[in-house]
Amino acid sequence: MPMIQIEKLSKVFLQEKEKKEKAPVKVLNNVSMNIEKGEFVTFFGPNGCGKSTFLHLISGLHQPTAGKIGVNNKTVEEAKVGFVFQDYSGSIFPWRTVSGNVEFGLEVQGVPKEKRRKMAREFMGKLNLTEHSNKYPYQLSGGLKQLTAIARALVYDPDIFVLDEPFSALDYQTTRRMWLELLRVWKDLEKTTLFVSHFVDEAVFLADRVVVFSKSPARIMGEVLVDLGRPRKLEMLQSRKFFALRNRVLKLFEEGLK
Amino acid sequence: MKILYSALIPVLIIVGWYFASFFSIINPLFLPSPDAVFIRLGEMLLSGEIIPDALATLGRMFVGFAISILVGLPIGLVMGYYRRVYYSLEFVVDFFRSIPATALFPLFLLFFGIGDEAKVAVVVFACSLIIIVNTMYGVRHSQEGRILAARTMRAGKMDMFMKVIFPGALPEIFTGLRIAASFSLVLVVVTEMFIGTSMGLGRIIIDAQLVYRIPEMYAAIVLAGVIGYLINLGVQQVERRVVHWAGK
Ligand SMILES: Nc1ncnc2c1ncn2[C@@H]1O[C@H](COP(=O)(O)OP(=O)(O)OP(=O)(O)O)[C@@H](O)[C@H]1O
Ligand SMILES: [Mg+2]
Repeated sequence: MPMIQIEKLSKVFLQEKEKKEKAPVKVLNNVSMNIEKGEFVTFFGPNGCGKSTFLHLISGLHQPTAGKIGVNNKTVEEAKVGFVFQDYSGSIFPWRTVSGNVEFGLEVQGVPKEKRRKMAREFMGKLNLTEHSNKYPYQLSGGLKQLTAIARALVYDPDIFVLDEPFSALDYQTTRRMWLELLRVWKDLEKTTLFVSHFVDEAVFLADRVVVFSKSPARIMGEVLVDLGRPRKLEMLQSRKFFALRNRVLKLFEEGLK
Repeated sequence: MKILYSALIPVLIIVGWYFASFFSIINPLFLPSPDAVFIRLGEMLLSGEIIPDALATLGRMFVGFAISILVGLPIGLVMGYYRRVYYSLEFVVDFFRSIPATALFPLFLLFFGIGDEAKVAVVVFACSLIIIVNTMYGVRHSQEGRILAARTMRAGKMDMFMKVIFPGALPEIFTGLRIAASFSLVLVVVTEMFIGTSMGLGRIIIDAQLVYRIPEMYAAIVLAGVIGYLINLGVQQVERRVVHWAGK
């Protein structure tokens, strides 16, 4: 039984137009796929095609217009989700320290204080945040803020781990460091991971499987299995094999733009 | 360096004031010389005669300000959170906000008499509206991203409000508190002048004015200004401590 089962998923938004009547806009078009437990799947597609909407549906933040999603044999509302957003400044809590942020999920899920302290400490350790645990977000670099968001999303042992362009506001050098950190915790925790990227190298480097979406309304153009072997090393970015995989993804992407 | 710049304009104003009175540019009946005012203020402080008045004014101000918070904060939070409450009250709030509270003196006198209640009521009327509006916008301007993040972590309604929306609104709430604090002092002094009282800086101002003890009038005005400045400074200190993270 796959970890995530997605059947004929569609989403239509009613968008406010200038003349106040609401016009239906189709964002996702009949998307079906399965994701196995522990798999790292990246999603790549044109701007505004519906990638974030797709993640929001899987996380239970929006209701699908049609179709079904099952996570770990549960509905999306019952499943636990760890979500990392692109905009770290707008999604972490500036009035909480790093450890306060990491504890948030446990706190609202009713975990007693002592226990959540301990769990937060463990996860800050995993992400090399221990020395920053009492700092406020405004005292941290972008990379550390996003590591805080990652720790916050993983600490309560979610069924699925979802990241929406988490590194796109970071510089290239930091981004590469974040890839390695992310892969390290992913391997350690064996989380089923869904990662949206607008950067083809990133999509290929991280994934077991790259899913390419068409332009809006998004449908699946195809998939590329990434058989680069693990652990991934930055040298692989320059390998022939990487290049070939990347080109296959780009080809699907080009087709999706037509 | 910072202190130098902060002191520059006040010093210039006082120098200008000296200049104006020394060359008799302004009739001393309207603006006496600064020494006359500062000497009179010194006398009144040393003899202690102005202290009960200052305390009376401060007392009314604090009671009015405190009630304004108790009234304004909950209403502002509810208006910011519930769209329906916002639509129901938006007109009333914006309407009364545009009326100078001081214009409604007769109404306040009718309902609250000429005692302290009327003066406090004027403060509460005007200042709770300031706090309501700022709190409401603080809640309405909540970062969508933080709410989404809390939803992915399955935060309940109460946690969402107390741990995400309310702290996020604090910077704007403090802006309201700072404005309301300064304004409450102004209103108390004005009500003391026009509703009348036996104690208060406003009473000194109006009494001195009627019998042309102009330095005394300005002494009370200067003291009110200093108190207002200190109150603002106090609120700012609390603000800096509570919302140190704001805007960074
Ligand atoms: N809540 C909403 N109400 C109405 N329309 C929406 C809503 N959310 C998204 N949309 C629309 O759906 C479309 C897809 O948006 P989405 O954010 O899912 O795309 P995306 O692929 O993540 O884009 P990007 O590359 O910018 O991240 C856009 O046209 C957007 O305007
Ligand atoms: Mg997006």
